[in-house]
Amino acid sequence: MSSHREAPGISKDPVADNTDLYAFVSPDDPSTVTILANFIPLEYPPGGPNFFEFGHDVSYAIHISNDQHPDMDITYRFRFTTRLRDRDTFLYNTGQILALDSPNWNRRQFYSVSRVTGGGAPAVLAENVPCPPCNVGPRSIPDYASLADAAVTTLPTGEVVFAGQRSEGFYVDLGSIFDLGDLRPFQNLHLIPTPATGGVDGTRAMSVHTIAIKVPKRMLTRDGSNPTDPSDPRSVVGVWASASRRRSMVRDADGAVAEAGPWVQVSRLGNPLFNEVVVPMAKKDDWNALKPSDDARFLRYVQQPELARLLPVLYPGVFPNLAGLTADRADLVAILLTGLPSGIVPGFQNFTGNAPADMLRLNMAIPLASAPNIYGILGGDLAGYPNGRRVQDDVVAIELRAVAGVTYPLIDSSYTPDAAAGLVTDGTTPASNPIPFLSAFPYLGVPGDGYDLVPAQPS
Amino acid sequence: MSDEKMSKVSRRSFMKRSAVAGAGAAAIAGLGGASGAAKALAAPGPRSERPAAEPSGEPVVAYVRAGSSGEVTVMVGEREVVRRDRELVRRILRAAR
Repeated sequence: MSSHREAPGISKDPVADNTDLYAFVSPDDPSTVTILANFIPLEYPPGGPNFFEFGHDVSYAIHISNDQHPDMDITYRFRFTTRLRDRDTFLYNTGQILALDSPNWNRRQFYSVSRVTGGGAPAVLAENVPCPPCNVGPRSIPDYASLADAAVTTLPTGEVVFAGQRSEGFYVDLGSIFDLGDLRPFQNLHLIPTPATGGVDGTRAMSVHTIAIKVPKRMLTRDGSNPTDPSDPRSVVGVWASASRRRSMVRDADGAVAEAGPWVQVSRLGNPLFNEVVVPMAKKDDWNALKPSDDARFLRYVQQPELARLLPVLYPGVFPNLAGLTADRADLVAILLTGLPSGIVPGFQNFTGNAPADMLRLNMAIPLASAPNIYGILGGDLAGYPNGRRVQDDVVAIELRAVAGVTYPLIDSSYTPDAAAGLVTDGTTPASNPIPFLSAFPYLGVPGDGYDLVPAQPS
Repeated sequence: MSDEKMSKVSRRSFMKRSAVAGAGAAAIAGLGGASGAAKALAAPGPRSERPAAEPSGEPVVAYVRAGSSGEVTVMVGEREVVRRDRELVRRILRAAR
């Protein structure tokens, strides 16, 4: 998956598991950038009575680098508290929840937002901001969309925030990809062939917990300027997210837990699928504990990706040119670790310096696409991945195609990609999920309710 | 666990009872009572990362990763202090037997 359960350690700690990260110019408010950091993979909507929630013992953060170095120059930190109204019931809600302060909602969450700039002291921007409940079902919450809208909060400093359950926006055919790299539309060509079929969205109707923040662009540039020139390095920001836990935790005999010590990072995320399919399993937990500025130690896995060696084996005769491509993949290094410098893609750059660091890189001066293409830059749409990442971008196909060799001509014009490389897909699209994206903040769809859950079906 | 339940815990009693098993060693925050931990924090040491502070009733966790190093990490609040104090480490190891 993008980064769901992507490492052995964090797969056992879903509350802290950073599953997806998005950063894009807000389509309905282009003077701002929206960043979405998702946590808690594969939420099954009927999963009560203890419905999903953020960890009150986890420090969640969104980091922004704006000075051409992979250190965080701005960090937004989110901390959650949980409050019980009635200690004598097992119920999440004791009646209908019609408002965020409903007396029938038993287990509520609130959060604080703080901002750290340039390594200074944190500035608390807001406290006791309410989260919406999970979408239990139509009897419990007859108008979930309005209830969630009420949890969208504008901070005194100008940012807009939301934290709560959302429909999973990442679409992928999980069941096929992890079955020896099968892609259903091409499985007739697989080493173990079966008739080709459409893709199945393995995350269809699942939910996640999203921390969303919309920030005026001027608050993200290093000098407060408004980014209008795509060629200006000040127009580019690097974005990554993280979750941290206290260094020590002691369980007491009565079930209480005490914690002490500094925060220690246990999960992070920049580009989708980086830790998932680039970093070897034995190093995935290390990667989650490190900062992007430490990523030089993972450079060789990008230069010589395992997946590029697997594709010609799994699909015999389909990728002969890829099989013969043994040079280091400077194209993938640029896409994933440094950003694309000027002169590679006409009119575009999102370069953040030569230091390799896994971050989403967004050139904020690139205009919104009039007709967004889910294949992003590969589809001729400079406003899409790997220029940041929008909710609808097909990052699975984009990264598969890049690894399959489609982007290698960017640095070696003599290389001809295999005909199949530009067609690779797992067969899923945004339409694979019946829950649509929203046209306004926080853009990810209203989470499916537990009562009306629709299971995964072929698309 | 909700924050409410956490708040019910007597942090001072926790301090006296807690024990953490490290890799090859163990540490007890309340070794010799809370004042013992406070003394350890106040003792001068070459690797103190932050000025010592009174734990003020918060849980204190001491962690000895390898007794042979003579180092003990004392965690309180959102910070930690690393001490190189062979005598303190020796006493912790003795208490863990």
